[in-house]
Amino acid sequence: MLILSRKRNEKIMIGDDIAIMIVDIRGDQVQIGIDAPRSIPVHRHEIYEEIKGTTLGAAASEKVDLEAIRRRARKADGEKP
Amino acid sequence: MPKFTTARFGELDYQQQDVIHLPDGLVGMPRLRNWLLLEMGDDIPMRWLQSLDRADFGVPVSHAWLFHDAYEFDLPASACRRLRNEDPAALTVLVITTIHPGGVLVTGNLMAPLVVDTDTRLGLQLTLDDPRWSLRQEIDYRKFEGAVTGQTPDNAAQTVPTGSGALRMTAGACEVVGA
Repeated sequence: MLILSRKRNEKIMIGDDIAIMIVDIRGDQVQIGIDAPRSIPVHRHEIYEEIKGTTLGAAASEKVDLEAIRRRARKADGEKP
Repeated sequence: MPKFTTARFGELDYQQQDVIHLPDGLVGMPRLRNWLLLEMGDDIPMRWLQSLDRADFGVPVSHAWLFHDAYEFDLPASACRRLRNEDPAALTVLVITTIHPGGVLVTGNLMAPLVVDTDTRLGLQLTLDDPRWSLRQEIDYRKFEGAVTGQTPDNAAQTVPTGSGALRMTAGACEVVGA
């Protein structure tokens, strides 16, 4: 991994289109500004992993148990008429 | 007519015009760009979004209104441009849905919906930064059952839906594109 030292308001270029700026540093938190073409999705890493994990879980979906869902719907009807 | 053999549904015939193209793929799966929407059977209000790039990969998708009455988000103008959207009514939202083991607990990913333009057949998975929209929103079982028995006007078991039910998108951004 390439490791660079940067100060507040300094930037890093990735290729010609992506600029990353250190906006602010406070204690153990860094604010980062990212300028990238809209076609490049930018995500917080943990959100990215969670969304991917949710999609993989959806791909492993089982068959719907319609009868059990009907029972649950009727139960919900009883609770909230 | 092209044929494709899937792990779940066996061999399919499909029309090129039915392919949905996601130029960015799904979040974390950028190479899965070409998809088909298939019926899941049993009249359940879900469809199966099948990858044409990976025979063993697909996800159930359903309408947002099954999960939340007030689901809404802003569709950025950049997304409208990438969808080549000209008619906001052609935009539809599909929620990636998980049927958990046992087949009863059903949750939808409202945080990262798919927006598909049914005219251009282009789609994007968005990531919404809104604490109201969860990765695992439990389905409204009464609405689900109502959709199975056809009590709702908008039955997701039809072909690619062109309306978006209770969903509200801020269409201003898209209207700029059409203007």
